[in-house]
Amino acid sequence: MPRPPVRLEGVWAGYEGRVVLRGVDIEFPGGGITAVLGPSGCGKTTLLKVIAGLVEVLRGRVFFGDVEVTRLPPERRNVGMVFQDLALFPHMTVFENVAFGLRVRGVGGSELKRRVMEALELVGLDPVEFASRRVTELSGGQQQRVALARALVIEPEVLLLDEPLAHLDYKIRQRLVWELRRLQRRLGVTTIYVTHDQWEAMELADMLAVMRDGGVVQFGRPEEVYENPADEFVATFFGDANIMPARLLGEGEGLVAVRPEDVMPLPPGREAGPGFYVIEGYVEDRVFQGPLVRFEVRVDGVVVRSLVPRRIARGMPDRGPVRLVIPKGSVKRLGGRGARG
Amino acid sequence: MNPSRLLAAPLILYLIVFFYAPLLYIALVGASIEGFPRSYIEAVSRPEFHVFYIKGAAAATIATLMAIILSVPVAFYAAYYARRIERALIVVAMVSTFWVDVLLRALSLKLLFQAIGVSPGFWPMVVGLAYEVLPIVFIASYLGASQAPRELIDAARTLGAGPLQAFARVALPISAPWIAAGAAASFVYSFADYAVPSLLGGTTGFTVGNLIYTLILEGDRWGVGSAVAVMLTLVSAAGAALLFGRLYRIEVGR
Repeated sequence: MPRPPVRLEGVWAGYEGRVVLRGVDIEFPGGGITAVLGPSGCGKTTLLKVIAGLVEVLRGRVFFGDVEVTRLPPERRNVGMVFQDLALFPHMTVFENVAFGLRVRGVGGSELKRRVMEALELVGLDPVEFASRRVTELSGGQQQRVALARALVIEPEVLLLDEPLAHLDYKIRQRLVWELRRLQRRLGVTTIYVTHDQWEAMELADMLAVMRDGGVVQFGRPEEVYENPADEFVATFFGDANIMPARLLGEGEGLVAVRPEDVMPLPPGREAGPGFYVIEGYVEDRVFQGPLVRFEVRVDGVVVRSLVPRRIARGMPDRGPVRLVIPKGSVKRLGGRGARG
Repeated sequence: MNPSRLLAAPLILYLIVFFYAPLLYIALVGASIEGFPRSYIEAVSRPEFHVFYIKGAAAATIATLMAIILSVPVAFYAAYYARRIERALIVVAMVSTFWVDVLLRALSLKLLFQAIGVSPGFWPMVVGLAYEVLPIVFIASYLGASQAPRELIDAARTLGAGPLQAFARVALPISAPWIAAGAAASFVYSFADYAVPSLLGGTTGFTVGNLIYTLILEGDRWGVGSAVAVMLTLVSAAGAALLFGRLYRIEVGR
């Protein structure tokens, strides 16, 4: 199966005269998973629909590998898509839902049956038990698997997933995310996964695109994006960040971001090394979060969040004065339009 | 009793007073005058009546088919592709004929036919019936089309179906029960209609409605007339029950 990269060049798109995407340039690497992360209304679903051919491109071009698909109708793109509401065909059984893409391609008889059964097994549904069930009788997680099987059975070159797990319970979501990751590694299909959930994005993505207001604000490996957020929006949308005003040497006033896990309390009687900033604060709240404990520390009228491993947090007071240390390298200067004036 | 059931009371009372009680009265009086089941046997077996039934059924069937052919494409266009304002305009345009009284509509059609030199008969009557039932079929088809959300069509398209295939394999099967319900309502309505056949049917376009009218008000055959009316009602009710049962099963996914 070819694994073409998907490239958008200056794509503008929208519906009924409303422009949603405003000049998107991006290349989704072939064979990998790219997570597209952004708040609702940022255009991430429209981006997927542009790739699927379901939304008209007003300006710009779309490529699968070297092939331009900008004006190709969806049925000629060989794209597998899992919709946000799954869009399973309610009048068909599980088998017929999965078989749909094969039937319209003229596959029939024993080959049809074999491929549908294989696809069901691939997504972890027992074909014997589920093939003849109606999709409306299934649980959310099972419906999810059917939708995935239906999209994969046609052996798509590109797999598009539009917040497929949004409606599921946490535990099922977690399991499906892990399964999805394994499955994608095995199949190697170019995958674009749209979500507003940063945890899903971190779990799945080889590459991460953060979107806002119809544009891609940052694109890179998740770790890179996490370490060097482009602006305040990215810093707070992908992971949590303390945004603080600071006077920067030679650059005047500006905003900096510090990840809460980079802010550590200094035990009494200890001194910090030269590589750290030390600030005085007052612990106002302590929130237990399982493996970590979050402290809310007031510093000069600003609340700074500090995320501390549970064992280290044991010796800390619930309230009271504290000294915080921040590694100098972890303070990131923020640029761009995300900064508050 | 659950007090919320009282909410249905005014309508039920209204229907009892103005529809079910008169119907029952006709049935009882009819049976008492000419005897039960003699009048029913006559209503079913008399060959002269069969012409009315067959002609009426044929006219109702053709009119319903015409209404379906005319309104289904518009309904799908409105549900899937029309912009919001366009959609509102289409729905209003299709339903607005309902705002004019049935008799007036039939009468105006009669005058229109006269003006272009078409005299009353079977086909003018069929056209008139189709005109009457068009809004019913359109509303049902539009509701049906709305049952298959755009996303299902999109899903079919990404899976490799062209626009026509997506329509035939996804949109149509899902909306079919609704279209069928509209068709059934349209058939019952036009089968029993009286105004259109009497104004546009001329001497050849008699239907069941005319038969009942003639039997009861002109022929003084209350018993047979009531038998025809009661049977017509029962057949319609059975059809409606079957269809709504099917719709319900689809709604709950059985």
